[in-house]
Amino acid sequence: MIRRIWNILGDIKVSFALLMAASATLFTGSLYAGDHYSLFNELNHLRIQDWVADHITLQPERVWWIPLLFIIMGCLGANIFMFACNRVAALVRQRKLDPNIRFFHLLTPSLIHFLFLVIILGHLMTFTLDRWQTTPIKQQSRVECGEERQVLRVQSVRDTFFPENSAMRDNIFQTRVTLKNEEGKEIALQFTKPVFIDGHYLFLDKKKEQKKKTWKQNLEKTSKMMKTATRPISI
Amino acid sequence: MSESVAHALFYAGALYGFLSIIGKDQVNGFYAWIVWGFIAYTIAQVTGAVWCFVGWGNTFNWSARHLGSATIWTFYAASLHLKFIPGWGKRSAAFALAGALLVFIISYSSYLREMSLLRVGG
Repeated sequence: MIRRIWNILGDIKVSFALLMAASATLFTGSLYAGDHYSLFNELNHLRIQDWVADHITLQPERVWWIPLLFIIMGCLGANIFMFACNRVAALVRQRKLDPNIRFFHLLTPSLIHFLFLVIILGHLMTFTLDRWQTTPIKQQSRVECGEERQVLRVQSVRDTFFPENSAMRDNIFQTRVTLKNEEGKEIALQFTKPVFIDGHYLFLDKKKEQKKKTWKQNLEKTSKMMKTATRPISI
Repeated sequence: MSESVAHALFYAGALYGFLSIIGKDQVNGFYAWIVWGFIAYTIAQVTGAVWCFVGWGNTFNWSARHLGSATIWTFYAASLHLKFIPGWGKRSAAFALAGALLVFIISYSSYLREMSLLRVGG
């Protein structure tokens, strides 16, 4: 009986149905995310269970598809695991009949299925376990990061610009922020170069602040932000 | 670049799928285009996730663009499995066509949205 249920749930037709359902749900979600940018952007810096708990009662008509997506992906993960296990077991049973090269060739799709499982489990852990903190930074300011409130002091914030003869002149090429921890160790932080210290990833980001807006002008100034991600696992 | 190559391969797959439906090409001629398109698209997703992590600290961003990309990936993943479902292999030509339509709608709606959206943070 259990074996029969296992085989039905691990069937390729179920995989197809779940993938199509995931595709339809993601497409629906992309429409909501396009229409409500700020609402769904919050989700990038909060744990999914905290965000859903806050919004599912207030605006269920906009967020209903996220729990549904997690249910579908959970079922898909289980289905792929069962399917890949069945396939590997069948290949191992007939291994004596197949030469090694053919065996490993046939094994490749199952390895890809297991790799996919690792990726979706990694995403699940990132969505549910990561904690975020965004802190504005200025020269000589003091930053506390993480629950243990590790203190970092901003030593310098230095911008480098594109060359004068470039079409991008007057635009920032890179920013280097030098931080110093309590032990006096210097940490250099730059855009697209995250730093991992004491269980936290530090990222340099920028936030555009709209200064003045008329029908002709759209002036903006940018301020530097430091994002801290506490990541129990790294993907 | 990998994503653009994948889009081109998906459109080519749809063209051969259409020829297959009207009987002017071999039955499964479009399948190889879709497989290579899917491989290129998967490479684009993985490299995009790495870039997304070093830039913003997430491997996935809950935005219309990323959700659209995931829609295309799961749709083609489903289409590739059709070949192994008895009796459904012939319908995969129609899925190749539908996939190209999906790629067109999602990519062009993203481009239009990105042209008008105030970008914050990079």
